[in-house]
Amino acid sequence: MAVKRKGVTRIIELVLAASMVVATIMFVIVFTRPIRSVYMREVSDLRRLAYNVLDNLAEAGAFERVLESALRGDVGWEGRLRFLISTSVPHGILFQMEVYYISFGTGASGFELVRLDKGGVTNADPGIAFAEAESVLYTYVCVRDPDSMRGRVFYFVLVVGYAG
Amino acid sequence: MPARGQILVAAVLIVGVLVMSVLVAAYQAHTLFLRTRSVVVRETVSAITADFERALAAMLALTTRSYFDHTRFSDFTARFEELGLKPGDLDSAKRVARDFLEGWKAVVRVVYAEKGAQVELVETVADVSDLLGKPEYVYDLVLLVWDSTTSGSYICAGLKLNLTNVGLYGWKVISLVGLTLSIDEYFAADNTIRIRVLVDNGTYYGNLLARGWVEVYYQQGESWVKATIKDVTYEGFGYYRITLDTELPGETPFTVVASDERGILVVSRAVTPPQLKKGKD
Repeated sequence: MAVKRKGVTRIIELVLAASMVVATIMFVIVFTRPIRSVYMREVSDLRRLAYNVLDNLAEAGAFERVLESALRGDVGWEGRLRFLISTSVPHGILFQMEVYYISFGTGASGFELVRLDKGGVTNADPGIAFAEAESVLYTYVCVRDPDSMRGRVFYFVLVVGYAG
Repeated sequence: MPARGQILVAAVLIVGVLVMSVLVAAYQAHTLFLRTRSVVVRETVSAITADFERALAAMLALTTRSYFDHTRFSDFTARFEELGLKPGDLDSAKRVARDFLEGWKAVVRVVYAEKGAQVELVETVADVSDLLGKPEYVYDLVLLVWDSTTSGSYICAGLKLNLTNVGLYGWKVISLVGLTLSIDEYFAADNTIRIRVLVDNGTYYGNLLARGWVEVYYQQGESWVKATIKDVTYEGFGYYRITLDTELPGETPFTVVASDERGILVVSRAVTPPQLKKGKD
């Protein structure tokens, strides 16, 4: 009888131990933050949106036409670029873009970044802060008409986000 | 003895389950790494690769435009003279192209420094025999095969990329950028030329009318005369029918010059068929 009782006790101990292990694992699974949380998903969507906007403008040859007037000294180019981006992003999305011209043959690294915009390529009011914003970097070698733009290199920083 | 056998079997089973669990965990960790890595870098890699192809296209456009008529396209070509580009000189154009690509590489390295960008450009060999219908290889960055019935302009290079701060190693892409032009046939009856235009690896080019252009020249004595084009029609699959306002005499050499929207030029040459003499009624 004593041997049988010892066996039953061990089985009960085993069941209890297994339950504790299972409970611990369930606890960890429930309370551990998943790797792609909602916040991460929002940011990756914004990043994809920003790249899509830039790719579409590049494919349409829009950068060459707008930035040609920028290099000529036309002051209205920021408004035209702002309009193009505004029509490409969904309602409620804020953006801000910095445009740099890359001048080769100068600077320590063989080139120099010359900022062209004056902060006007944005649809955000100065007082509004970005929330859940994502910035993307984009280099662009001009290949489309006009000939005067071919082979010129630009660098864009596009920040997209929601109003905070 | 039977009890020892049972223990052995149980031990083997437990060890087996443990080993399988470790393997599954390792597999899951690897797939998780790949999944999270691609989410972070796929757009960045795509943007860099696309810009690399644009840089190649710009340099092929420079080479072909300078080689064809440096003065006519001086808005573009003259800017590179200070870098050593000599009008119509293919070797100097290749040198400028290599310098430009090195400059582009330096820009990418600096711009994407926060991602730990390591960039390397490699010149490689590309087989374009299928495009040209004869054995030809791009092995010295640029290949221009012009003045044939099937002609082509090509540039080929490879891009090796690491983004060490986001865990991407060993990305490699070989890009062949080019334009192929074939003179398919000349129809004397209605003064039309049928041509075929392909881009890069042989993709049908359907934007010649909207974004590119085409010109026809024919030989008259010692000089080349530009023919007046009355109409150009796209027939699909890269085929275009060019109707000329000028009637070309029999056995006259003529060239067709085509440009895509990236500014890459290609020049093909053919000869009109001999005119049949009209017999007496």
